[in-house]
Order: sequence, then C-alpha cells, then structure tokens
Amino acid sequence: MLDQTSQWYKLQYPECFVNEEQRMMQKVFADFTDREIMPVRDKLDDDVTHEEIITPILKKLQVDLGCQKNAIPKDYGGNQLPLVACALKQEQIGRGDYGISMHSACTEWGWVPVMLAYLSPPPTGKAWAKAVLDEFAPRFVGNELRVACVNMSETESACDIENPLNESRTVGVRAKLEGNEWVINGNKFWASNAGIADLNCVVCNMDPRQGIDAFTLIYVPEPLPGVSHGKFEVKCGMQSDRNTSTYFDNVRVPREWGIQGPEAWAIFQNTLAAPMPLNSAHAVGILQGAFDTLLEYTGQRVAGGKPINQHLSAAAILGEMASVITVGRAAFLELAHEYDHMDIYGPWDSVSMVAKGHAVHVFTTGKLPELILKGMELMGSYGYVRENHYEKYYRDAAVAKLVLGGVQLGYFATCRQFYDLDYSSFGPGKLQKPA
Amino acid sequence: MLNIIVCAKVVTDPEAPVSTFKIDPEGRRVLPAQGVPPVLNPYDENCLEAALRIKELHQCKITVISLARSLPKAVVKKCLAVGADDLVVLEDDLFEDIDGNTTACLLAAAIRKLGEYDLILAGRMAADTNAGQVGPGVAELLGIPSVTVARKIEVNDGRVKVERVLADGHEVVEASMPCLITVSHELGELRSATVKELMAAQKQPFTTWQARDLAVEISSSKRSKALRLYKPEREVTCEIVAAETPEEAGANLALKLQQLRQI
Ligand SMILES: Cc1cc2nc3c(=O)[nH]c(=O)nc-3n(C[C@H](O)[C@H](O)[C@H](O)COP(=O)(O)OP(=O)(O)OC[C@H]3O[C@@H](n4cnc5c(N)ncnc54)[C@H](O)[C@@H]3O)c2cc1C
Repeated sequence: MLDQTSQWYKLQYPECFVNEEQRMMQKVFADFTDREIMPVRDKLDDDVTHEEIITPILKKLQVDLGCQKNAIPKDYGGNQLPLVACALKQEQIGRGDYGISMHSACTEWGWVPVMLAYLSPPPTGKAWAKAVLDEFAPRFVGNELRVACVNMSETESACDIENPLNESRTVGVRAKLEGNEWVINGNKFWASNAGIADLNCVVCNMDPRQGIDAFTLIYVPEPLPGVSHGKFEVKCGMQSDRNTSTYFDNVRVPREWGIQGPEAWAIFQNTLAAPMPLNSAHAVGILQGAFDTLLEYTGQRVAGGKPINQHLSAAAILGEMASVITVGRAAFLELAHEYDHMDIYGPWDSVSMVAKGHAVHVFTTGKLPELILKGMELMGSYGYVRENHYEKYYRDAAVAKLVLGGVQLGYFATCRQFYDLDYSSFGPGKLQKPA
Repeated sequence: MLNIIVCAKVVTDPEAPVSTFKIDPEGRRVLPAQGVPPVLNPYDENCLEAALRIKELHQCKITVISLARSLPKAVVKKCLAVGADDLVVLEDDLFEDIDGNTTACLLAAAIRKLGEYDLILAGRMAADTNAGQVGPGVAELLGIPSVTVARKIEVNDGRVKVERVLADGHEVVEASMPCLITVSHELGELRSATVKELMAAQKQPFTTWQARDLAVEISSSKRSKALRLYKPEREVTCEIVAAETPEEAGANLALKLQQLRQI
C-alpha cells in the first residue's frame, strides 16, 4: 500500500527526481503488485508450466498495462519510458517477485539497443534501428504477449563478455555475412527470457582477432529455422524468469537486422549500462518486500515477554534495513535521473558513468543477501517457511547480486574512474589473445 | 452527443487494516491514518466504469468532477487515463469538514456551471462515510429524477434503463434523461489504465474551480452535525461445544443456538 501523501514518501522519492507522471505510474505498479502478485507470491515458484499463475500475471503487466512496449520509441507506438519511470516500476514489481520484474525488465532490455540507436544521430545505427523497428515493433505494440531477450552470455564466462577490456574477443557466437544475409552459429546460455522470446538481440563476433571491429549485434526472431533451446534451468526460485541455452545452427536473417563494428560496440556498451539503475531498483524492492514482511511479523510476535520489534537487537536490524533502503533508493533514483539527462551528465558508456552505475549497483545488490539473512533470524523458524513470505526474498537477494557481471566486475569498473586498472582476461598467466 | 458527468470522491483506502483507523472522540473527527494512501472511492470507480461502457456504445463526453479541500492529482488524473474526457477539480480551504448537503450543493452548482448534461453518475455511497446522501441530494437540487444502487445501465432514445440492486435480487427501472444514477459495485471494476494512457493523462489540462466560482454560501448549507463519534465495542467470547461424535456436536450446537434464540 503505497501512500504517496506521507512525509516519508516525499522524502524517499523527492520531486527533483520523480515527476508527477512518474508518480502516477509508480502508484499503478504498486497497486498492481499488491493486487496481482502479493496474494500469490509464495506460489509463483511452484508454477513450473507458467500456465496457472505466471502467464496470466505477465499478460496483465505486459499487455494490459502495456509494459512490453516501454522501450519502444513513441514513433512506433511505444511508451519510450524514461529510466526513472522504469526504475520505479522495477522497484515496485521486485517488491512482489523478482522473477516477474526480471521478465518484464528484460523485454525492455531487448529493445534498448534499437531504441538507443534510433534516438542517436549516427545514420548507420538509425537505419539498423529503423529496419528492426519496422519489422518487429508492430508485434510488440499489439494485444498479444510478446517477449524480448538480450542473448549475450555464454557457457564460457559471461563476465568475460561483459568485461569491456576484452573488446568482445571472448564472444563465441560467430556471425558471417553471406550476400544479403547474416549467418549465425554458436551457443548462448543464461539469458533471461531465452526459450520464450519472440525476439533476441544476439551478441556475436565475426572474427575474435579483430575485437571491436568485428563485433556484431543481430536481431533474431523466433521461431526460426536453426534456432533451438535446451531445457529450462531449475533455479533457487525466480520461476517467472526463464533461463536456458540457445543454439544457433546456420541461422539466417536479413543483413539489415544486424549492425557491426565500433558503432555496434558503443550501442552494446550503452545497453550493458542501461540496467544499472533498474537492477539496483530491483534490489531496493526486494529489500523493501523483506522489510515490510519483517516489520509486520516482529510487531505481532511476542518473544522474551514483548513484541520482537521492541527488543533493541531486533530494532537495530530493522533500522539497518531501513537505512540501506533509504540510501539505495536515493542512489538508484539519482542514477536513473542522470541517465535520463545524458545532455548534462554524459553518455552511459563513458568511464565515469560506467563507474557510477556499477558503484550504485554493487552497493545495492551487494548489501542485500547479508541483510535479508540477518532479518530471517528475527522470524525464527517462521522465516524459512514459504507461506510466511520471507524466505523468497532471501533467494531473490542471492540472485540479484549475480547479474550484469556480478560484484567483482562492478568494483573493477568503479576503480577505472580513478586509475587504469587492467582486469582484462588476456595477458601473461591469463588467456592468449586470439591469433 | 451525450454529456455524462461522474462525481468522484477521493477517500483514504478502505482496504487499509482496521488497526490504522483512529478517531478523535472529543474533536469528533477521524484522524488521518499513517501510511494509508488516498484512492478514488471504489463506488465512484464503478460509476466511471459505467460511463466508459456507455461511451463504448454511444457518442459521449465524460466529465469527472471531484471535490475536496485538497486533491491528490495523481489519484484524480487516473480518471483521464482510463478514458474520461474532462476533469473538473473543486478545491478550496473552505471545503474542509463539510457535510453531505454542502457537498451536494457545491456539486450541483458546478454541474449547473458546466452547462448541458444528460446523465449524472455518483457512487452509491462514499467508502469513508457510508452515508449515500450526496448523489440523491444533487438530483434533488437540480430537480431531476434519480435512481439508486444501479448494477447495469442502458441508454436509449433519451431514456435510461437501470437494473437496481435489491436485497433479494434486482428490479428494472426506467427514467427519462437528464437524470442521476448512483452506482453499486455489482456493476464491475474500473478498467486499468495503460502506461501510455497514464502518460497522456499527465499532459491533459484540467479545470480547477474554487468556492467563489460556485457561488454557494458554505456556512449556511451545513445541515448536519456529529453528536458523537466512537468505535463500537465488539466483544468476542468463544465456547467449545463438547461432544463425543460429530453428530452429537451438531445436535448440541443446534440446541445452544436455539437457547440463544439464534435459530
Ligand atoms: C537473474 C539473471 C538474469 C540474467 N539475465 C541475462 C540476460 O538477460 N542475458 C544474458 O546474456 N545473460 C544474463 N544473465 C547472465 C549474467 O549476465 C551472467 O551470469 C553473469 O554476468 C555472470 O557470468 P557467469 O555466470 O558466466 O559467471 P563467470 O563469468 O564464470 O564468473 C564467475 C565469478 O568470477 C568472477 N569474475 C569474472 N571475471 C573476473 C575477473 N576478471 N576478475 C575477478 N573475478 C572475476 C565473477 O565476478 C564471478 O564471481 C543473467 C544472470 C542472472 C543471474
């Protein structure tokens, strides 16, 4: 129950970062979470087919509320949502279920490369974006549930692909041009929405020896001859977010759906930066969900002769959670605001913005697991039982830390602001550069 | 074209836990609840849904009027996002602590000022007062017929056909327009707004009127006065009906209920 009139709310979501339109959306997403997700949040992970609970919720969120077009330009009937609004959405949905919010966020993410290219001046990128949007945007702005995916990670270290110093030389999926077609071969793993996506943005390289010059982003729709998948991974929760392998076996798509070289690399680096405020918002939402559960429980349960929240040892944990929520929220809102004002704060892929994005992301996601685990103690045995709604946040927290290259890569990127840290995967005692 | 006016009040969320409900018995007022958000009165949401359904079949203009001392815009603009065409906000410090009669006078004045109208829709009651006075009051002041607790509304040839909710079913009533109908929850939930509609609503202008724009003498229109405000005491006692078998338990329970004159 989000009360936007309280003083606490006003202090948490200040007017300098959140405008009235974004507040309206935040309220809609908060109500959606309370109405659609909260009552079933302990049952989502058991819906292995997605048919009973998950898909109906996703339809309401993605189609009825229209979130599957959040990252599609307005010219194509999309919402072209600012990052602040997206982050507020992720926080609210993440408060209910990280899997659902991840599914939704990754459909948005799938459109980020073309949205960025479409809104930027370089003509090659614009032409590529136009071709992709002309072909696929109409499907996503209609009334059918559609899913997009950034298919980047591979079985051999995904961090190595996300590590910018490697300049895409570790990307194993090969693209080659044959006449007017791209031909794609190789395997991907881990991407959210893989196996259920209607549209993949596939991260490829034409020749790893050439690094960035041969880097390629290609949109691949499904179903398509040559594209297949493994089984859906069974994970510690996050049922609503599907992860599996994607195999590309001589997959052919028109030339205009792909972009290659430094321009593609710049779009990719910006695309990697985009989720920083969003996953940070997820982390704050997860912590808020855990905190709300704990606050209610510890206020009612009497142990040691008084309500648990009256024991100072418990209050210290609750207070610590509230302080991390406050700082995390301020940080992701500020970051999203800066992303929305590139004209003032610079491009998302600049060294400073990448450092800032990772710094916020590593702080919010890194703090989560330890804090939520501490909180579990306050609920005693009730804390690890599913129907009491706490343990799911514990599982979600562990996962939120793994995405986007994880914590280590985040710290390294932050250090790059201050000195020339070499954390590339190539060099003496490490990988050999492809000859 | 039909002109439909929907009266929508903002109330504190009636779904909030009972523990958040606090009163000041001396001051005879309900205290603002901590952490409970303002929402559109759920019955008024049903009204707006009724108007939108009519709009699906007929050429219509829907104008929503909302009145309070101060209105949270994000809440009332939701009406524009789901499909209302216009929003008129009646806001003034003088609207603090007014009664049902004054509210009806102010709404009626605003409706007159708007000019032409065919149908006025109001909730069967507000979720904070449960009084159900304002809708019929507005009809009385405007001198038009009113039909209460509607669960279905059909518009045809200048007349409305309304299914009214009764304790044991429903009845069908017809009235000529212009008229006022109060709507009940059986009509159905208000549709959701999409992200796109929310963005569009934000850019849509709306009208704000104050007390002086309505020429209503507020001090003299107040007719009701709270004599006492209290929370009813509810006592729960529990007695386990002893028995050896379920059949015996049933019989003993029936006996007990008979003794208590409950059956
Ligand atoms: C919920 C979720 C959603 C995801 N969604 C997507 C998606 O939509 N698309 C997609 O393509 N992928 C996705 N991924 C995959 C994700 O991007 C990678 O899993 C993640 O970057 C880690 O890669 P990895 O699992 O291969 O770990 P590895 O690369 O094997 O890394 C393992 C460990 O080594 C550390 N490490 C790596 N490099 C270094 C270094 N240079 N120095 C020191 N330590 C290092 C890492 O920090 C980590 O702790 C998702 C993952 C999760 C958990």
